[in-house]
Amino acid sequence: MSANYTEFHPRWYRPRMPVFWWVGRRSYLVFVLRELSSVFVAWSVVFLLLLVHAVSQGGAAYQRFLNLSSNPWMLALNVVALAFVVFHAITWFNLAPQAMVVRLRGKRVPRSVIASAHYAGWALLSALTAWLILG
Amino acid sequence: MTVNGEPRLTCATFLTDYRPGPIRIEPLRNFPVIRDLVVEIGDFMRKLPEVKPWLIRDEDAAAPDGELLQTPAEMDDYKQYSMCINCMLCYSACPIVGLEEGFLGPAVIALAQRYNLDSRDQGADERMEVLSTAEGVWGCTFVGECTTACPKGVDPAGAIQRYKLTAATESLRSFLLPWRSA
Amino acid sequence: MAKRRVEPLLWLLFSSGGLAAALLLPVLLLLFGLVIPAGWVSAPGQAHLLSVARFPLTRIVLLGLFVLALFHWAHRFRYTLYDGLQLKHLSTLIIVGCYGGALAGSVIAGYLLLPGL
Repeated sequence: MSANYTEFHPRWYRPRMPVFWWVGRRSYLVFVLRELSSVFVAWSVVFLLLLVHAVSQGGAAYQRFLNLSSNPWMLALNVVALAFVVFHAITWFNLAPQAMVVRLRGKRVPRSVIASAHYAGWALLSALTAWLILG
Repeated sequence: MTVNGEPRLTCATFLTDYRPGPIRIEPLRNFPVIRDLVVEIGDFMRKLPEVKPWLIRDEDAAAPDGELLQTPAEMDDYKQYSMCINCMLCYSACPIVGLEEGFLGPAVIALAQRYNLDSRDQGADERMEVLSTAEGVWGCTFVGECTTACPKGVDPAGAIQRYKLTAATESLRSFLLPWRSA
Repeated sequence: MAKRRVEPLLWLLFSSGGLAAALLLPVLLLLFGLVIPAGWVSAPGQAHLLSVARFPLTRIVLLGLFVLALFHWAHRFRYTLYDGLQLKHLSTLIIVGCYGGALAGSVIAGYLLLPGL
């Protein structure tokens, strides 16, 4: 079989994939939104670095940060960012069982258990962090 | 073929399920169309042998005495990935297959895993040369549509993510401990 | 080839970054991005936050979180640009922008968290 010849046959219809291939189908759109959540992950890091810097510079700087964070535009941005970051977390924990096969005493641990373990860890860490911050 | 936008096995898809219609049938997406509903699958056929989807044994070792034995638990390790019928619905569903010409694709990687995880196989290192590349697992972004489209429950997306961890762990090990032989 | 060895390690960074971000960013952003500015909870004092931040374990955890989360963004955003906007022909620029940005952010985080506090 002459493989190279068949690949470049000029009469075949080979449509080019459109740039916005992901808009028309719900599952693709959800996928791209999931990927874009990484932008808000990066924004969260920037925002938290601003906080760390403000805290390290003293009470006045910290107050300025608090004022900045209560600015309506900043608040709106952070609400959107929070939604995306939570979306990232949920999709991550739901997909993790598919990517890992854990064996306990020879039997495969069910997916729901792996996902639940992630969610439990999430709840625990969140509670601990909130307690540490709010004191 | 593509039925109402979804990749489907038309031999197992019933018109009655789509009542009252209309129903739209298109050739399988992501493959060149020769004519009407016929697509050319040569791309898949060329990519499949690249991962050596057969049992690879150490040729220098003595021939085994009798069959190679395997426990039911050992078979369970790879059984899911052996269910692939090469229908290529996953290729139709995967956007990376459409975007990247060289991408090996879900079924090929799942079939490579079927042999990598087989206790009788000794070829995992050979396959890593092909799999741990941009055209192999690293092109995959875990869209997950391949698993949704698969009529046999192979879960190629899971196979690929598992292999990413295997390959990454191996890369890390060879980076941190380069003197240790594989 | 060097490229073949780097990609798996970048994926490991992406993967651990994704987990770290998923576990810790929601609560931190909820508190400092919404709950405290909106006034639903009174803001913690600067002195209290500073003492929490200075704690060695906090420094390490925060540094790890920031660095990993930034590299998670870099890797994921790179592929989003390749596949979502078909900009693979600009891959050199994208790679420099993404991983360079993550590196810059990591350096800043290191400076703020290690000696800076």
